[in-house]
Amino acid sequence: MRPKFCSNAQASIPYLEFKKSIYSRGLANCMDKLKILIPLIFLIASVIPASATSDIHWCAMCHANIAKNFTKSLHYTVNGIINGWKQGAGKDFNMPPPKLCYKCHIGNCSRCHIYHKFIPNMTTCVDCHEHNIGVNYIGYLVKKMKKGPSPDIHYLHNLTCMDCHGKWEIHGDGHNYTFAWYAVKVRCLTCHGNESVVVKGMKPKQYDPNLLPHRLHKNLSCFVCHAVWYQTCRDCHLNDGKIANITTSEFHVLMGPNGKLYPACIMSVVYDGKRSTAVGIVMPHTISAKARPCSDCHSPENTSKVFLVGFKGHIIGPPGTRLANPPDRLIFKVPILNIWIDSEKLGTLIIGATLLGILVHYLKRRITMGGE
Amino acid sequence: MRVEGEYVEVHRQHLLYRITHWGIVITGLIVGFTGLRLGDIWGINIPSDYELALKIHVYTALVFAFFWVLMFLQLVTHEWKWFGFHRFPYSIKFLIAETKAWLGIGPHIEDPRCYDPRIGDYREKIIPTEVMVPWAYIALTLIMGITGLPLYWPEYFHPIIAIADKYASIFGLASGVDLLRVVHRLVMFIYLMIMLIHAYACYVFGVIKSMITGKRKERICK
Repeated sequence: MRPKFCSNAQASIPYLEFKKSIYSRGLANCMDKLKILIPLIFLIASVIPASATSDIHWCAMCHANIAKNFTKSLHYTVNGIINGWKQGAGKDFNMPPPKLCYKCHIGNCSRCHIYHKFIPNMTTCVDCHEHNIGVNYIGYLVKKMKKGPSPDIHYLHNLTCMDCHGKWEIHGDGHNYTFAWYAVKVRCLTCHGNESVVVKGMKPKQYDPNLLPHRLHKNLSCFVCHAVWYQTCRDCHLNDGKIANITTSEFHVLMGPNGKLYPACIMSVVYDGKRSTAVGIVMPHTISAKARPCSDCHSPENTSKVFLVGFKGHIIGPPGTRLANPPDRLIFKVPILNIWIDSEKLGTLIIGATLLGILVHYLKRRITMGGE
Repeated sequence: MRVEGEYVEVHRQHLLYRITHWGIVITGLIVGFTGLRLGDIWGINIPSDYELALKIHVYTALVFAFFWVLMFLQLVTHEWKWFGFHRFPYSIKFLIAETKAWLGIGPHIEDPRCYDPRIGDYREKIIPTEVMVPWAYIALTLIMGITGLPLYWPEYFHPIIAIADKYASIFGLASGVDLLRVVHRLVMFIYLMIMLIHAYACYVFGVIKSMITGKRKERICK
């Protein structure tokens, strides 16, 4: 694209070179015209919504690197959603991702940057990132005009999306990622494991590795315990977009590719009367300083549910995402024989056999010795 | 010493030994019970507070271990004559013979325990199979300690976890911590098995009272 208001001498050179040239030449040829047009351009740009006047290619003229990276970002490619669909409902229904999924595709800078130099705020992000992220973050339930159990502690400290998430996460860093798992770089320890960090004048409370629950749960992500609730939407009907049931009482975990446990959300989708069920890792933005009670995982009634024992649906997410063994079920393989043994069942068998042996001995003794 | 016909009442267990024994029993039961709760085994959920159960488990286990050290010292200094390793073959032979007798394919062996008033000591103080019992307990306690401590204090005992990490995959486990937990749990069941047999044997051989009062009527050696 070339500015049409300049003379023919500038017509064939790219815009950036032209931009340099007008300064090096002292604006000799165009200055008079520019003097009139510059205020006019800025006036128009600030009044007319950017979506009407710009797209990625237009922005790329000045923000070339950002624009180039952005076309590979998940916001642009929506690879995370597409891949998730292919691993889950797409398999069962044998169909491509529905149009609904593509509403998250951001093909235009102006979708977030409403006008030039507009910095997106939390509302901009929450427009799309509502489930488990935006709406829950402020303590409300998605699709329900009512409060959830609690807002995120970061929200209570007045932090917005961009206080944690860097521009390179949102615009992309040039890699064509397949899942948000890879694209999001910020970690809890970025702030909570670095004493020198100051956010909005606040010093984040530092992670204490010596705290008993921290010592015992080194294979757990912070989210498992500190994201104290999240919203699960059950039976999303693809035909009409209605959701049958919304709950905040579900809690599951999956093992991520890094071998750590993360909260997981069961997603059930209904299409033409058929149901597809899948589970994937989620990062609920409902963080609380006070963690979940131990019994959420460590109790007979919860353990199987949390660890999805017997789950038959699809597991979606990056390669290596898998079901985790519940803490109370230690199943091991006997080498060479390749037999899997549940340690609890084996132990129960040992104790049962011992008690039976004692009982038989006692009875035999009573019979033969008359209780002597 | 009071002689009654063929029997004589003697001082069998001294006070410290009895205190140590019952200390082991009480702390062992607490450790075992809280352990079952921690592993959600057999539906035990008392105390319901997991963290409380864990603290009780770990710190009582340290007291339990202390009692075992005391017991070990007493075995070595005062009871070596009866519980020494040199008696293992005798103990095993007795076990085999008694098993055969129980199955009806061999004769019973007479209770060898007897006291000799002339020398003022036992000629045989224990049932031969008892020789192996405290050593089995000590070995299992050691394994429980070695596998349990890294689970609670991984930063101090990380070399043990590192060793376990190397062997975890052989057993199809994800990490050394899982392997330590499996061993800890299985050994606990074996521990419980020995405890049950031990308690029943004490009843059968009539030695429970002597572990309380310290005294027992013993057969006089002929």
